[in-house]
Amino acid sequence: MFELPIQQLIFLFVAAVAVFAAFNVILQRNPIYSALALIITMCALAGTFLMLEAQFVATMQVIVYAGAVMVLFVFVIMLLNVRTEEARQDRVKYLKLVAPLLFIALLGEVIFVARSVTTTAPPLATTGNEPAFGTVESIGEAMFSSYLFPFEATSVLILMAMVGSLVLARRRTMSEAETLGKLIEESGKPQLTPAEPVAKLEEKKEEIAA
Amino acid sequence: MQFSNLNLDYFSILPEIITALAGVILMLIDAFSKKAGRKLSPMFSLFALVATLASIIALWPRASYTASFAGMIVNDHLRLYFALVIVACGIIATLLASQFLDDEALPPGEFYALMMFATTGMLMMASAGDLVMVFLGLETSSIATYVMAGYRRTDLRANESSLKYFLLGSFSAAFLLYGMALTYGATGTTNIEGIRQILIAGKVIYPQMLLVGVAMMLVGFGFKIATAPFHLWTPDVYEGAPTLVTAILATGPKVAVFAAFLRVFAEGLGTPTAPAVGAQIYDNWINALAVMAAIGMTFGNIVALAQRNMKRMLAYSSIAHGGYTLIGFLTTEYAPVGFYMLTYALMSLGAFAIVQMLAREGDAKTEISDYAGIGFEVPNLSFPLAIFMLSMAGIPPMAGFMGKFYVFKSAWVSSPNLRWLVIVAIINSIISVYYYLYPIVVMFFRPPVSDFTKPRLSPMSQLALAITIIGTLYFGLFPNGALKVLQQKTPGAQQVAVQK
Amino acid sequence: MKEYLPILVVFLFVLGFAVTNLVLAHLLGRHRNTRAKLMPYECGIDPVGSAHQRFSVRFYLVAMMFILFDIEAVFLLPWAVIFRSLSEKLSRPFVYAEMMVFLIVLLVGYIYVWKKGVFEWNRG
Repeated sequence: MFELPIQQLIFLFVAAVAVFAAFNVILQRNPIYSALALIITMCALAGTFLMLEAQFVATMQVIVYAGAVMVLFVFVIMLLNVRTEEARQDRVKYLKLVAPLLFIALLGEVIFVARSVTTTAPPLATTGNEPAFGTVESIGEAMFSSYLFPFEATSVLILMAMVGSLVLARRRTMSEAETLGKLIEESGKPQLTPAEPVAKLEEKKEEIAA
Repeated sequence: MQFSNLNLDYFSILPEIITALAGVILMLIDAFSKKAGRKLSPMFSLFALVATLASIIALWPRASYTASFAGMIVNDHLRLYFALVIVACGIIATLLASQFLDDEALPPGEFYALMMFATTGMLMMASAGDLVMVFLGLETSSIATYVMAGYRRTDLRANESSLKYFLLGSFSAAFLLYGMALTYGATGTTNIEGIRQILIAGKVIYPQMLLVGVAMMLVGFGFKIATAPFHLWTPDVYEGAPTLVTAILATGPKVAVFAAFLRVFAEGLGTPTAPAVGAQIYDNWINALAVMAAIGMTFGNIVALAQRNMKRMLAYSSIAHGGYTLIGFLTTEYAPVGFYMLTYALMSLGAFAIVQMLAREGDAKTEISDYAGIGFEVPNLSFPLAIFMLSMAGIPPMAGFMGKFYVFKSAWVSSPNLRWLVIVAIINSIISVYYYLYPIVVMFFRPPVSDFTKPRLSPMSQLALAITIIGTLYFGLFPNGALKVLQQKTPGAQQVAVQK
Repeated sequence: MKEYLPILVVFLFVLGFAVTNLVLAHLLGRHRNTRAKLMPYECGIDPVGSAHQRFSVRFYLVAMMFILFDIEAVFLLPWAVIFRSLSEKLSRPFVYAEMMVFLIVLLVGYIYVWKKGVFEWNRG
């Protein structure tokens, strides 16, 4: 009987953390801070799933989302060399008004759907033999019996993702290097060579010596 | 979970197995020996696609509404027909690909592997009996096409097109998935047939959730079909990607997504006489589709009037064609949409193939002004292009006219209160004649450009062109064969006939 | 739900510990920041140039491979848990074969990635 208020409190806390971190994702200037805030959002969502008795989903949320997906996020931020955003004039000023309006519209839709959930769903037919809702066993049973074909199709999807990522990120072929060389010549811009930092180190040495 | 009723019918997934296996073998050949990859890949992928075609024809007598793999794969005539069209598109695209990859010195092995995997995804979409399968097939074919769009890695426009396609495609797949999740929450099952039964019985658990779920699924599908108002990615992506990839994009995934769209909406949610929510949902999405079709046709046609780049013009025209096809959803059967997709695929593949052959390396010459005066220099290319343009405009006796006629007639007959849509479509067809005739005029009646050299055509490309030309003329003159195939009723159709 | 109470307690402890340390350090410690203390640490020498330089894309490929095989491991988890009980309902070879097909497809992917040189970093 002491359970109920604690559950509400915990839910409020977790939900508040999730919303606060989500706002942080879009309001932070530094992209790495945004990525960290996104990780916090994911973990808070995992907590919410846990409270809804979906243990497997909660675990997967942490492993896949906060683990794998955020790794990709941080890699992209690193590779694309995304800097801290400086305040700049937006060319399209009315977007600042439109975005909150659309947000409120979307919020209204979400509330509309959420409020329609007035009846509890009919209880899932449980014989004595079936595993409890939301556990790893129940998901495993579904995945390897009813959803067997999608499971095998996922392996083809993952395989194709490997091929695709390799196509886009492999070493330059000879013909591509030639084409790029021609493009750089035509554009006339000097190319940034990796020798730059070394040159700066030489300068600094001269400064110290002088 | 009923463990006894899984119905693991391995024969029914034979087409998908063959294409996936072929993709894997192509991958491995290319990984172990680049030279073998270059020589063997085209022939092997052609062989695999022909084997897939044979397996689909072998499955024809076994068409029934019983779903295999616990409801995941439905082997009815809709699936078999659309699978045929998809594999035919794949065969034509593979024939064209060998010359494209040779000319641009792009590594061939992975391209064919990606095309095989894309075909697997498209086949999965066509045979989906469950929302999860639709999504999986969609993602498989989409990711393969995202990568293929960026295959020419040194070209900035190709990078732009691939990135735009990827970002917007993933975002809309997220909408689709969320809609599927809400639909599952509202009905309690992801099986399309199961959703239909629940709607007919009036036992939807949360009707409002179903409404939002269906709306989001409509958004997701609408993006993939490139219909207004979700069409903004189409011109940039079609223009930037290498022309052969544009040809694949404009035909294969569109046909497959229409098959899935038909199954989920026309069969799963097509319940105009069901009590309460069923009829309301049906009215909602039919009206939404009608508005989308009207905007798509009008917008696509009007903006295409101003285009001076061939690929961009064809992109806007494909938006318009998406609109015409949506009119086919107003009928009770899949035949109008199916036939239109067949004719559209043949016309588009042919048109894009000729654009690719005329565009030099790196898609340098795709403006319509580059086509000036070449009409009689390369009659083996300009006459087919003229035929494809006329077919797209809907001028008899080409296949395009037959497709439009059949769609408009079926819609006129079966939906009396949406006849305004057919009138809008006819007006749009008349408007579109202008921008389809413009390249023909430029080709035949303008003075020729000085630096035009005849493009070399490999035998495979000529074969592909011949198939598309013959197909366009054949289905324009003798559509009855295809129509009879389309109108076959799968045994056991009484339980799932769309009630009107 | 009661089983998760210890986790909540641990979480609150950890949160409290971290917050308390930071707050106490901020309040009680002396703040004397010199320019040298605030520079990023680079093994004792002065930092030269910006930290943002061009990375080779092969790091990203390794991250991609990690993710794809991580997803494979995620699929292995429920299978391992349910193997014994599922073999009573379906047949044991069938349950085994289900996962083996999945693993073999991904093994082929691994061989492909290996042959393509994703793991060879000492060439060029």
